[in-house]
Amino acid sequence: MAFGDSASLLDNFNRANAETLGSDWTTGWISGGTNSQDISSNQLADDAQFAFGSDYYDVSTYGPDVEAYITIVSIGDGTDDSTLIAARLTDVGVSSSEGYYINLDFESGNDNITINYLSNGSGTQMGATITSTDFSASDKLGIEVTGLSSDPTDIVVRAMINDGSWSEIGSRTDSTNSYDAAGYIGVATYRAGTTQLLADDLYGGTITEEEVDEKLPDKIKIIRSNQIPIPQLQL
Amino acid sequence: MGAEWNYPLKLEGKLCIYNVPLAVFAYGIFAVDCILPDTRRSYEMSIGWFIVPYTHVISPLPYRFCAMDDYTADIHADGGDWSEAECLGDHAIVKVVADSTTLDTIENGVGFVRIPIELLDDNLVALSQADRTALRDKAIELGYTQSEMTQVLGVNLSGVSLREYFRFLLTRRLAPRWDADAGEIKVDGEELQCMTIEKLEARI
Repeated sequence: MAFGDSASLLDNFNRANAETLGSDWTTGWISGGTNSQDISSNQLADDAQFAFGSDYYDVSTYGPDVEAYITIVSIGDGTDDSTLIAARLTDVGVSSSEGYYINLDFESGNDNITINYLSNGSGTQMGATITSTDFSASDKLGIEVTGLSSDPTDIVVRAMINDGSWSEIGSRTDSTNSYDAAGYIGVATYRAGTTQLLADDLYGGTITEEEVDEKLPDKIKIIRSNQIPIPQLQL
Repeated sequence: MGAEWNYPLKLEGKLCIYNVPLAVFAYGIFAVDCILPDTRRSYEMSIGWFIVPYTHVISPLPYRFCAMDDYTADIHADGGDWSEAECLGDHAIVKVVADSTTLDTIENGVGFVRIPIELLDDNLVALSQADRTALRDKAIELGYTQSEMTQVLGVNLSGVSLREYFRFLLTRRLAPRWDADAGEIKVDGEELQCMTIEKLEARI
């Protein structure tokens, strides 16, 4: 199983222009993200210039092992223009959310990607900013969260890009938060520039345990299954 | 011994060499030429241990990040990396692998404290009394009490290893939260566990 194989289309945003994303969405999963994002020309659009909009898909929770991705339709041209995608969102609210999110911060060259955890609505970046990827229009931004806080391998959050095929931008391991429950999937946008931020076709889904195990390196599989091999003498 | 050198030798299942001494010599030159630059590079890299504050960004997207990220470009330019373990007091213990000149630069970061010891099991007795006092003061500044520090580490840090000092700093941390009324991030939430120093050490 590759990234994306467990995800199904949650919303294609094909509906009339509107100031909200509609009945399947609730606004406000991250601090500052109090505005509703819009529907524009059958796509998700930012709320307005200098507005920070965040919404989560409230139809169902996914996970705890979860993957989600969205197509980046337009590239931001302003400082701090960002598109965010979140997973494992629980206790959702701008001052209460817990979970994980990827922040794609558009830059003129390579973009800044950060992997963050959410605590009481407040984001904390895990590790260094990743600057090795340059998103283009029609690329897809993905998030994958696997593992539990009780696992020897901890919770792993991966940022993914599809620019023709899926590849990992970077990953972070969280060994201190206990965000083990299934949660909602969210999207957020902030625009400072003149080009409207557009995104389309949100996919998401639960990854089964077998699919997670399949992706893990052999050594980790052994640790997870508690099947430590006994060395044998080969003659 | 000399006769052994004249026997055919099969290398990596496909290469047969009869003139072994010459081949070994040539292979040695090849190996040294290929491997030495990376080896030399890894030897040039140093390990730095820091106590680093988090920077809070309020607008436009409120979040916080470990201030070591300000030096990510310099560290990556060296071919190095860094990783952090969040601790009490809105700070993190950070391990950096980078060129020694980069570590010296990082040392001047605002609010950064560098512990001039590379190995976790080395004793803090190697530090000056002033340095040890600074580490004790830092722990108290982060939110630990004098009494709990004395209880765990004793009255004098000279008998304590860097690992033991970091284990103490990683005893607990507080959850961050968004205070919508104040419009700021506060790190005063529930008490949480920290990453272990062993996991941090293993990361890079």
